[in-house]
Amino acid sequence: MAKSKKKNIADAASSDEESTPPDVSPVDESASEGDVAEEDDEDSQSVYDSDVPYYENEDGSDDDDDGDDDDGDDDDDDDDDDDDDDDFEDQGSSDEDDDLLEKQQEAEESDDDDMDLGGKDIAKEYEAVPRKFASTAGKRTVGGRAIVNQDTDAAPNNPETAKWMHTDDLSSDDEDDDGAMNRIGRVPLHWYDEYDHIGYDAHGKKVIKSASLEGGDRVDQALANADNMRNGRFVVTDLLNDRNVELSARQLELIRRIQSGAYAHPEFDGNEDYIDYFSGVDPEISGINSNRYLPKSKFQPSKWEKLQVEKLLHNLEKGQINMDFLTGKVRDMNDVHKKHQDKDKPFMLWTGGEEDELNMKKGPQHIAAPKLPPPGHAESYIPPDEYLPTEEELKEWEEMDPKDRPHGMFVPKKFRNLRSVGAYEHSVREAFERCLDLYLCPRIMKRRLNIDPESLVPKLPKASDLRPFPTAKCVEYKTPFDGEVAPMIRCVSSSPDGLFMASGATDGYVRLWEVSTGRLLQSWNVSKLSDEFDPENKTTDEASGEPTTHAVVAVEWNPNRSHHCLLAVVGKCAVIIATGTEGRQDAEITEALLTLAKQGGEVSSTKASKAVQWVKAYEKETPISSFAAMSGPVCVLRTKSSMAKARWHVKGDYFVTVSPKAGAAAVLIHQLSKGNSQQPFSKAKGEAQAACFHPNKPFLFVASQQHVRVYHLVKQAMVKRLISGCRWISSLDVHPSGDHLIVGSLDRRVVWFDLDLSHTPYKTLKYHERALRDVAYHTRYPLTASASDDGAVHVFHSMVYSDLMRNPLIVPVKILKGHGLRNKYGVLNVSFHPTQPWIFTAGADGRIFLYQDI
Amino acid sequence: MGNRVKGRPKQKSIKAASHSKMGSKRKLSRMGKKQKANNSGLEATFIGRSKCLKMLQVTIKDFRRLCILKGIYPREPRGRVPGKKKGQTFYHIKDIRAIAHEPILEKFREFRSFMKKIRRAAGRNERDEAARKNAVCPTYTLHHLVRERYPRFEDALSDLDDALTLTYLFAALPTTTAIKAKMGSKAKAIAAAWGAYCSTAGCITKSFISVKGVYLEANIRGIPIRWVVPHSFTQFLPEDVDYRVMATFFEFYETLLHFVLFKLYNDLGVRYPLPEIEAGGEVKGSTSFILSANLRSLGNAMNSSTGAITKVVTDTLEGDQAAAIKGSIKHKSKEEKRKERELINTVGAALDNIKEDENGSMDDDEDEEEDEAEVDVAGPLKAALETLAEDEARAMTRGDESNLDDDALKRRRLFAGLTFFLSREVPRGYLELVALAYGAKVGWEGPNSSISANDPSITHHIVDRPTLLSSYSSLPKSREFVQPQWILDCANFMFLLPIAKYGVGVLLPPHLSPWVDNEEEGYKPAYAEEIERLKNGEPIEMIQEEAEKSDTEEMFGDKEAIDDGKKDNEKEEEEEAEEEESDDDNQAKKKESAERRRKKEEKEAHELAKSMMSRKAAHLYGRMQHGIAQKQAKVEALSTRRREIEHSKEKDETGKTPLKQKVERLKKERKRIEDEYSNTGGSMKKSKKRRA
Repeated sequence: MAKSKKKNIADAASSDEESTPPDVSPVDESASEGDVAEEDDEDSQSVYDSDVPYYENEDGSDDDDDGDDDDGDDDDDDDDDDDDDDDFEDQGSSDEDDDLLEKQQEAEESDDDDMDLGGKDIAKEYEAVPRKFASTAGKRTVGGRAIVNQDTDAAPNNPETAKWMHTDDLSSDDEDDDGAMNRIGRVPLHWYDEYDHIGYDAHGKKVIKSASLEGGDRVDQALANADNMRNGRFVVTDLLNDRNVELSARQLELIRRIQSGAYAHPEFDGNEDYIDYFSGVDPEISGINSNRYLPKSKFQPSKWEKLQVEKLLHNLEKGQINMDFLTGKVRDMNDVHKKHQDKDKPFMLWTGGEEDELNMKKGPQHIAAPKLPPPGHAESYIPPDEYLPTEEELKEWEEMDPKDRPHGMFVPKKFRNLRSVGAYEHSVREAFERCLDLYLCPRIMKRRLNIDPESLVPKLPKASDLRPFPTAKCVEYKTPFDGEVAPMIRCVSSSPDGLFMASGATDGYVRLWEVSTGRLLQSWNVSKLSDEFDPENKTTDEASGEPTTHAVVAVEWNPNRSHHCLLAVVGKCAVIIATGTEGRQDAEITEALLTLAKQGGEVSSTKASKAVQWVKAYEKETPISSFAAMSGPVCVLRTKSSMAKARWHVKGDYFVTVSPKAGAAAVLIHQLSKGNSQQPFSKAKGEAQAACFHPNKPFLFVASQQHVRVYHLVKQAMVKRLISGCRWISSLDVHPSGDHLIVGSLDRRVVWFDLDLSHTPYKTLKYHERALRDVAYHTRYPLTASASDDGAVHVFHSMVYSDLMRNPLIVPVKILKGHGLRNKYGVLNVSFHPTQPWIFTAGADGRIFLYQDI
Repeated sequence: MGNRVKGRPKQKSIKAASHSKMGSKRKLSRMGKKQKANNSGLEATFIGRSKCLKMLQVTIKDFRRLCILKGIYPREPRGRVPGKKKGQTFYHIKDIRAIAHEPILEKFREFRSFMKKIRRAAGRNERDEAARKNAVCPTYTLHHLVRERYPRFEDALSDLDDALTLTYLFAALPTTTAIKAKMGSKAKAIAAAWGAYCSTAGCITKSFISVKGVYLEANIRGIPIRWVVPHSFTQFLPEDVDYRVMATFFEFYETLLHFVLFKLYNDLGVRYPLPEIEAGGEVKGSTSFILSANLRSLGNAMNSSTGAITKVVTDTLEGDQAAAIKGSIKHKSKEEKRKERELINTVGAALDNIKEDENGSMDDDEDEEEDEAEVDVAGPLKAALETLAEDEARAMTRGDESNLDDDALKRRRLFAGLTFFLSREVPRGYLELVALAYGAKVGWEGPNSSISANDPSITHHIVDRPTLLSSYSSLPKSREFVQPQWILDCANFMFLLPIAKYGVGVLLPPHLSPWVDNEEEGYKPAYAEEIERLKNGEPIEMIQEEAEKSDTEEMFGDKEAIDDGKKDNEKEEEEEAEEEESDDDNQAKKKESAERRRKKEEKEAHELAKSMMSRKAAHLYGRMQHGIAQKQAKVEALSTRRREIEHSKEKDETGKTPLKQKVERLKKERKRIEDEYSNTGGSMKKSKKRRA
């Protein structure tokens, strides 16, 4: 801006040099002309007269008419200039400065009063000229020359000038004491052209136009001006007040200074020392205005910048940055690094101490994926020949789903040598499937039992320590038979003295054997007998026309040693047979026992009499013993329904028969000595399968298909119901102590009840492969046996302790496998020898064995 | 929360404390506090997949990738799954929460928005803009996942099987759009680095050529690692395989393997990746080439890094040297140190001399033994020198063994002193690996081989051709020509097998898998039996004879056993009676019968005990027996098939197999003896006579 301004000035100087009248400087001719010429109107206007409210065109004429039009333009210019010239204004017109000036002036006035300047009355005149007018006038006088001939630079230093300049107290030159001056303000004067006055004074009175101005002669004026100039007077016309004002030297000097761009007042110091009036900041310390020398570092090239450059160079050399970064193409070198860097540059990831970390680890338990199984011989490129699939196997595999095939997609193949092995066609697919398994297969932690199967098998005490028990087959009782096959032996029973044994077979015979020798002593055809006494029961075989034989399903020897009789169950009848084996003492007792039966008995209860009939069937037969009075069937108990089981009471007087289909009369209790029968139940509870007396208490155990009910015979009430858990109970036996019960079932279970313990089984064993047919306790030895259709007889050592706290010990000791199978029947009945640890077994193959302990 | 003292029971909530003080076991919920829904059970522990996606705000693709990278897998709920949720995939809720905090998830999101930008730029055809943006593509690292998934180094080792298998597969796959060339080269580099480590550390324990590829097993820190090297032919690429899944797996495995290798190499004292390999950019070329390059540079690095010579000397100086030196070492002045260094230098010079002396005589253990014998005579310094010499020799032949364990040393001894030369048609990669791991020196036909084809030190020339090339006739006669299977079989059986069966053009014996435990399997292939006998030092011809014999005996034994089963006690009793009668029966027979009886008793007792098993135990026992029976059936099928094959193979003129002939011969013999005996009036089988 400043530059352009100077240029303007120069231009103006060159262009306006001629136009400017050479005689403008009246005071001092010697003042350089160029210097003066520079200061033409335009320049002064644009640069200095910021506060000039109004001025005329450069031609110097007072053409008020077109002043209007220029006004707007001028204002614009003013605005522009204001920005740049603020400094001047402020410095020039601030109140503080005024005060200061006044002070100074007073001081100087007091110093020297004498003024030896040309115009004595300068001060007076100066006062008389209003400021505004003066400035305007200055303009009008076409770049009014400085009266003082000193150059502007020297001006403030010239004490002379300063002296007379200071005579003015710089009070406003607008002041008019009487208020006679025109006070119309800044309105265009041509408004008053038509009037005879040019405005109003402070008192509101008209200021009348002077005659000279009104009709004034311009030529006169010009002449007067010329005169004045010659006389060294500088007169300007105050159009507002319509008068001529002569500028004093001081005013001229001010104008000159203003035009030259200096401070108007010669003694004004623009860079005066800062005086802090209010705080005590030491200017030396604050450094604001200290005139000390600048440090050396201010003049030297920046060290920091050097460092920066060095750093950048270093980085550039190291490759940490590149030119792209320096030229700003890349903003962040990290991006570049990232791109070029290897993604995961390895480092030591595991440094030890991971165990502790592992303990801290939270989250669900990791389940490692199972590893792929290692390759077997079959996957070899030359497998052993036996691993190669046969053609049938290959065909089979093709039909299978690949997942079910033994080697998956792979088929074992033999190559002759390594070079003939090609790429495996499924390798990618297998790898892919493994990948899928790894991230898609649900995993679960399954505890695999990795135990020796033999550890599951319980450790038992050695069987040899639990002797005696039957171990070896010693005697076979050979049943004589006609035809091809021997009849099935359904039942066996030993006499209480252990000398004799009776067996019942499907041919309807009850046979009496001598135990020790295996000799057949007697045989009775009870089937025929039953038919005789029960004609309704008699049926004939259609094929042969002969009467069908009823199998002897149960034979029970009277457990009383002095009662020599036995009970055989055949068809719907139970037959009491006197065995004729008694000695001298027992003969009478037996006879006495059987007397009433021999006579046909007498059933007292009407209910029972409907169900059962005692029919005498006594025939005189030769008894085995010479002491015996009789032998052979004594009596037949005829019932309405086929009988299945019969059991004696221990004392040998009562016995119970079971005919499952007979409903309420299924269980009947008979008394042999009285020839009497009772029907204990009026209602059937399930189908009775077996029944048994308690050895020493008045209890009766009745087994239905699934339960065993215990009845109190005296109280005539059910005491207990034992839940066996079996589907179909086939047999039942009571321990000689009466506290334990063993039940065999057709669904292969052997159930041991401890009656003191619970109504549920103490132990359920399932070791037979086929249905159980019979279970039995030994009366003396701690032995139990079970016979089954699989042809085996299991013998248990079953110790029952009198101590209630100890559970019975059940140990299997022997499996007797002597019998063969016939029609899916195996061993149908077992019976322990009453005094020895021996056992009789009756098989469906028609053989009877005695196993002894050897 | 953090102020809980370890070992103290965890503080319960205030509510819980009130009743737990009373010693009540009652649950608070019963006291009227209602259990909030989804606070326990399936809902609280497991989360379905679609719910996961919703929760994580990711696409299924990203979710799968995250699962693969983070090793998260669905789990099967332990309890009963409600009907409507059956068949759903369940993830553990905590696993999913872990994903939610995963920095990679953020990276995925960043990447998605980045791709949007790129796509937009590309769509506007602003190439420069796209290229500029491409430079700031967000990347991620996976090592934190490696650490997270495998907190211990052993964990990482035990999960390397799949990683290695996939890496080796990728190394063998051709480049397609789905399989980038970079992946292939990376896989090759890793595979080579791994192979180099395994053979240098001598940790390869088993190797097996299968149709599927070559199975190798390494044992590192007692952890077996098994992987498959595909046969080096063009692999078939099925179209319906999602290669991106495999690539994601590979992405993780690559990082994992890098870190594992770093640790392993570091344990060897070598920087990983090998500087030469890394700098030389030797990741181009065939797999075997890269492997051998790796092997070479690893060997170099090992030699230089351990600085074997100086180390041993200083050790000896410090350990075995006289007390004077020891004392001086304690307060070493600079001068003394310098002296020591000089000493070491002179030792080095001396060593060089020794090396020259012993050049060529370092092939056998005997030499080492001799050296050891001399040790006692010499002073400590000489001992040091000799150990040095040994070390040097060993380093020359098979690399540094100082950091090998006993098993590895044992393995090293198998091929020690042998030099194999691999012919051009033989796959070099794995064979070189195995041979080196077992202590052989390997040369090959082709570039960079340290041994040329006509080197006299070659002991075995590995050839896989129907006949030998005519050019081979000019080679030195000291070598044997064998097929490559010989190396693996020897390595697996830890025994130098006779080469007769592996000669050129010979029909090879079956190649058996080293992973099958014949005892456990119950079936031993004939070749395994043969090798066992060989190991025991029996000549081969005898072996075959005996094998037949034993077979026949077995058959007879079987028959007798069956007879025993059929006839029951009766027969036994008779036999016993027979024994009593026949006076001339020796005691051995008695003993035998006693034994038999005892066995029978035991069997019976076992049978009895079985009857006393509880229902549960019996069920379990039955299932186990079923499994055993199945296995047995398989074995039986194999052995019958083997017998059949043998029979069909070896039929003579009469159409009878030698086995049958033998049976007949034996029968005849027995009959003759019987006849002789019957002439004396007795009978060998009384029962038979009686019945008759």
